[in-house]
Amino acid sequence: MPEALSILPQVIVDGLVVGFLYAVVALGYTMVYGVLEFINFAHSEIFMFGAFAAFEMLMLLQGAGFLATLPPLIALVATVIVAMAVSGGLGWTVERIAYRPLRGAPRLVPLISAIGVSFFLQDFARVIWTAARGNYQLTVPNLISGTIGPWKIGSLPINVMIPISALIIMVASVLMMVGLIWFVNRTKVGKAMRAVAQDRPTASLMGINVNKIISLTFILGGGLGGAAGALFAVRYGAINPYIGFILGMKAFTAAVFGGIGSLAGAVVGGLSLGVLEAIVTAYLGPLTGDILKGPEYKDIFAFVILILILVLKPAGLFGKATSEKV
Amino acid sequence: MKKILASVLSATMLLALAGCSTGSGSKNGQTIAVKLPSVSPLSGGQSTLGTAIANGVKLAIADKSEELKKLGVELKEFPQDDQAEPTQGTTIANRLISDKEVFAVIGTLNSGVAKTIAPVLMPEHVAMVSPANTGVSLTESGYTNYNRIVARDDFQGPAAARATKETLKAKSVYVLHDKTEYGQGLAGEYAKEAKKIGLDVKGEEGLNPKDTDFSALLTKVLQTSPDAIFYGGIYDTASLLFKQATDKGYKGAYLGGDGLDSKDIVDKSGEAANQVYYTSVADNFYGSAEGKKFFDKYKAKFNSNPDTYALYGYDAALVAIEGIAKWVKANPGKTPTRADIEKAIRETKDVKGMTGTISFDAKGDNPNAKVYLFQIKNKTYPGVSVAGYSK
Repeated sequence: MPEALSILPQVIVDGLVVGFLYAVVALGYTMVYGVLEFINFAHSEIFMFGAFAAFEMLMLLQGAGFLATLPPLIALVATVIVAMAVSGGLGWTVERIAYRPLRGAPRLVPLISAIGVSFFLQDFARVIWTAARGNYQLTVPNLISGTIGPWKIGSLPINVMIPISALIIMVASVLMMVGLIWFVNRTKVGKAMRAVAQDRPTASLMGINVNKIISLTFILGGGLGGAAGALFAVRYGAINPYIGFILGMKAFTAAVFGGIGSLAGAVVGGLSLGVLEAIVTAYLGPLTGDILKGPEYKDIFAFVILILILVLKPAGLFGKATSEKV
Repeated sequence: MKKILASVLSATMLLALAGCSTGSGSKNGQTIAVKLPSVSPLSGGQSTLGTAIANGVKLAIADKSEELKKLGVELKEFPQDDQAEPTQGTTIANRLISDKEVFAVIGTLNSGVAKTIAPVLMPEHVAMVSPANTGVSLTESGYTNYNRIVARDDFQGPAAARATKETLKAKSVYVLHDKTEYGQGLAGEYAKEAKKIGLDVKGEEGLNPKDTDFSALLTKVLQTSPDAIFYGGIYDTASLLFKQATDKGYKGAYLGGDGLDSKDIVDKSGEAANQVYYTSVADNFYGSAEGKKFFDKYKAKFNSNPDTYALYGYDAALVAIEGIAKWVKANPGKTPTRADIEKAIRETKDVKGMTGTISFDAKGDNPNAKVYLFQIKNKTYPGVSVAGYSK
């Protein structure tokens, strides 16, 4: 079926866009796991707050008339920075209030605390924005529109196109990932972070301020989540307090799939999950003679494939038994 | 001079009112308290439609409460939020049957929610008048208490299919739906008729309405280059879907049922809005003098422009209130049972509403319900009606 194959490049591009969002959010899960060895379930709501912060920033710019006059890229960068600051701050606050007092408790206790924070933040956003804007289903002001392409690949009947807002997600994600991996592996603070991840008491004995490093981990992870939220808001134009739930689930899955605790694993896991979903959506129908419809079964099949891979490689793609965390 | 005239007039009116209230109804001085609940989503992604319904019911109560007071009936608002969740519907239904002031219920928006409410209300003889349910099975399940004012999916869907061929001159169509009772039902009826009248149905698929990115699905859909895309579902997901298809360079038409009939479809779809067609049971209503009056009244009371669903809500409430009024007039001085009101509402004949003349047949369907196709132009809601179908 060459006709069906001719859309494959486009399907992969579509999947990569979603995959990059998964990957950036997955980094937040994996960083916290690397340092504290627990899953910060509130991370999906930190992502959501980033989207709401971006919305408020765009409304502010629009109200001041800057949205029409500023170059869109500058407005975007400003919006993403505000979202990162809000979500980074929120990440720090959550750690300080909900996790640090439970530092010595059994590992399941902060997990419950995280689930509680997650519910709290969802309804907190709902109440706040219902009061402030009359509705918590918000339409984000349009910042970037237009599409690049279609490009032809040689003389083949293949067209690939990408909306500019989706391209921005990819570019910004790559920049953030490279920045984060550089920071963790090449700077002194990054080294301290890795030390805390490997052995907290020893790191402390070496003169590293463990509490500060843990706070920094939450600020960085939260900031990445906030940036992802802002990019999401700009790309899709519609947000509500529950957007974090499904995306957070998928990002968490991506982190486990890639090998939780590994930064590269989160990236590869996120991209694989995004592309896998897109391919199942587009090809499951044709491959099964339309008995199984792709978009209806995409989650099921994507997860079945993930489970199969995890059965063969329980630590995830990049996880090792003696995993070098963070 | 004007003042004197006004006071004379109001004095006469007061006298007239006093005359009425001694004339009928509350002869024995007792008033019948009636709560008229609306059940619709007031929060969540479909709250725009749900709130319009609740507001329409409130307007009808405000308009009719004087008239009913003369009959000795005191009407009260009682809006309920079903969150578009069938499980929430059951909870509300149980609460409503335990409230003795509830005789009839206006709702719901979603057919799936109505399916959980109607069976709970039926043994208690609490009547239901739906302003919006189009799911076929609701009036085919033998619910004696269930009535609706709008056309069913097996009329709305085929009408949309015929409009696709006759008005849009499309030759091929791709059918998508949101896997809900409403969306899948409507899309199914649409696709069935489309195939029958010779449209090329390129595919039929469900999607998860909680997703936000439909790019991969759309890549597959657009590869078949359909002239039109039909979506059975609600405006919130529809606008994301349409916007992303237009991003991918799709130039054809987007079609949908009454679930798209909201000003949000314009606000949220961006450039794609001008490609949108939807069906509705009310013709270009706001063009008429009556419609303008309703529009202004709504705007004054709720400080926002009404969605078409406000009209449906208003009419559904009107039918229920007329039913109550009719019974009380026929049985002066008596207090109705729930079964009396249930029967009176089912026997509704030729009530003149905002959306047309409403009657109920033996199953609770409105045989006068029509379907119109609307096209959105210049990103303005409501659209312009471009075709009409009656049974």
